[in-house]
Amino acid sequence: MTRLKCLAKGTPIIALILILLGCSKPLTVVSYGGGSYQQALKTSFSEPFSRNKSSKVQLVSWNAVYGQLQEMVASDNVSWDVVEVTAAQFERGKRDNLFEKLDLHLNTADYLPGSVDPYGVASVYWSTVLAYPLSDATAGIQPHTWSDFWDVRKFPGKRAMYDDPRGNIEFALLADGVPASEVYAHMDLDRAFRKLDQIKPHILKWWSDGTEPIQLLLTHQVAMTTAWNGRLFASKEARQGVQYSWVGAATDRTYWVIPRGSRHKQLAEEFIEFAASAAPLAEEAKLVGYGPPNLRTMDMLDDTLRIALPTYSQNMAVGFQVDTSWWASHEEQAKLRWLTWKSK
Amino acid sequence: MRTNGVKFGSSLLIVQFALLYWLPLLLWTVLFAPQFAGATGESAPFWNVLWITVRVCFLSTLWSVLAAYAFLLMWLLSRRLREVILVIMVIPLVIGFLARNYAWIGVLSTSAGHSLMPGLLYSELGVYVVMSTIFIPTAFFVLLQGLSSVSAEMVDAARTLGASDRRILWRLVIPLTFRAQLLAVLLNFAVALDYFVTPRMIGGGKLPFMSMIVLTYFNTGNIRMASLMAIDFLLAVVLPALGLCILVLRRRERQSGF
Repeated sequence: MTRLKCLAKGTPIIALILILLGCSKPLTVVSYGGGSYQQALKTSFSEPFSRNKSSKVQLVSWNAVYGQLQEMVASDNVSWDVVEVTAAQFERGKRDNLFEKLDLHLNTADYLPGSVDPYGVASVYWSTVLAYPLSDATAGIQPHTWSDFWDVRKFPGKRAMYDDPRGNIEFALLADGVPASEVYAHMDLDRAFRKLDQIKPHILKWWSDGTEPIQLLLTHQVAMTTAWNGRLFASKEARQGVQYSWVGAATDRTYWVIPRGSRHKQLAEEFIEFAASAAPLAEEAKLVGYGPPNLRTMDMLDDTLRIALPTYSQNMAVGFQVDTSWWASHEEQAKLRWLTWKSK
Repeated sequence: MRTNGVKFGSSLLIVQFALLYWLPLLLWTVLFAPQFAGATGESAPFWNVLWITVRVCFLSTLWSVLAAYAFLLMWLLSRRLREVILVIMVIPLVIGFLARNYAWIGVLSTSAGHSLMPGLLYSELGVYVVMSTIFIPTAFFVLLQGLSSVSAEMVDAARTLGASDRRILWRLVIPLTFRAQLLAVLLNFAVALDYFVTPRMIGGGKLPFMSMIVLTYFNTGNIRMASLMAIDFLLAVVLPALGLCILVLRRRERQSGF
């Protein structure tokens, strides 16, 4: 009986707490990638933003599984307000009408081309680079290009690559002598996979987590690997023990979007505007080493940091930009072929 | 009377399952047969990946059951060993997947010449070793339960009649725990089929599992194909396995009455 009474007394309190929780529901910002990146987003975006706006920001991480976002919008049960999507997903999401149209006040001239779109704003530029351990053996001749990556005679040792066709197909074509400007214009998947056949026996691991290539390099299990520049930047051990080349680096970007049906559209727009402004992006770049889309941010950074970013003009000049519209229409085909090729 | 009731109840259950579950699944598969044909054609990964998945899962399950038998014999041989075995069996059950995988990578790693088993990491053999060790505890406890059907009197009687230890094992313990063996294999095999992270991390991405195909479709927003693949995979594995089990059990029932 006493238990029942306690329960009866407690119910209104619980209900009140639930109501209060419902009212002060924070802005939910979902970013792609965890670890150091998420931490950087917290210190450079979400904390200052919530101080200015006195509204809470909840940071969540997701694995950029497109179907998840699609289902959320389709079921009209949108609990996310701002989502970071890959560039290919951004293209596809626009076709599938998944995003809210944004009402932002950004000066397009301040941004890298393609960064500001009616449906989203680029969050960061990141690159996949060719990395190798810094040791006496590599002090003489150092690998620079993807042809070097494929040349196991000149640079003996095991290799590792990202477990996904994105980037690897382009690298194979570059190694086969296709100029960077013509990779997408005459995309030849057969040729790419033929070239990948050559490197397949030398691959120790197809990595799937961004920290794996660093571990493989530092323990000297591989002589060369592809790696994400931000992970190399953020790891203290990698900065001391790993060297990398920007030649032929694949630069891709992610976008901030608002999923259609978000409950806090206006606040979400304010967040995106804040995350695209120069000063917070400079803070972020210092922490993660990914390139800011805002050109004014680049002027705020010192030289040592600037040349380590994917958006540094000379790095961009020797690398290439991933063609998101090609990937938006061919991702499934390429990924399935990748699985078939690996399983043979 | 009681057996009739049980039989009636179980057939009702099977009918209910068929109507609510299997029939819709089959219908769904037939409806999307053209797409299925496209997704399983020569250039598609379905059959290759199915073969890898079934091969790896079956062999690692088999290994785990064999290893569990070894532990079971130790359990029977010495009372003092029992506590040790119990600890060995329970510890893996309370460690998370990721921690366990990274620990295995550490153990198998060849860096600095500290590797206990060189050459196993990022290979198919490594996946067998790691996956079967994950399944040993489940197999062990299922077999231990099955052991209750071997009574001490039977073993004593066999001894009195002059049977050797080996003979007792082959003619008494193994046949009597047959159902437990089958259950252990089935349970672990079903769990193994869902595996995704372990084969990818330990196998160095060289052994794509069926879950990778499902995820690839889901990743690109093709949810219909993702569920179709998942269902086809289920049918391709579960139906033959079910048939095989029924066959084996029938055969045994005819032969020995157990």
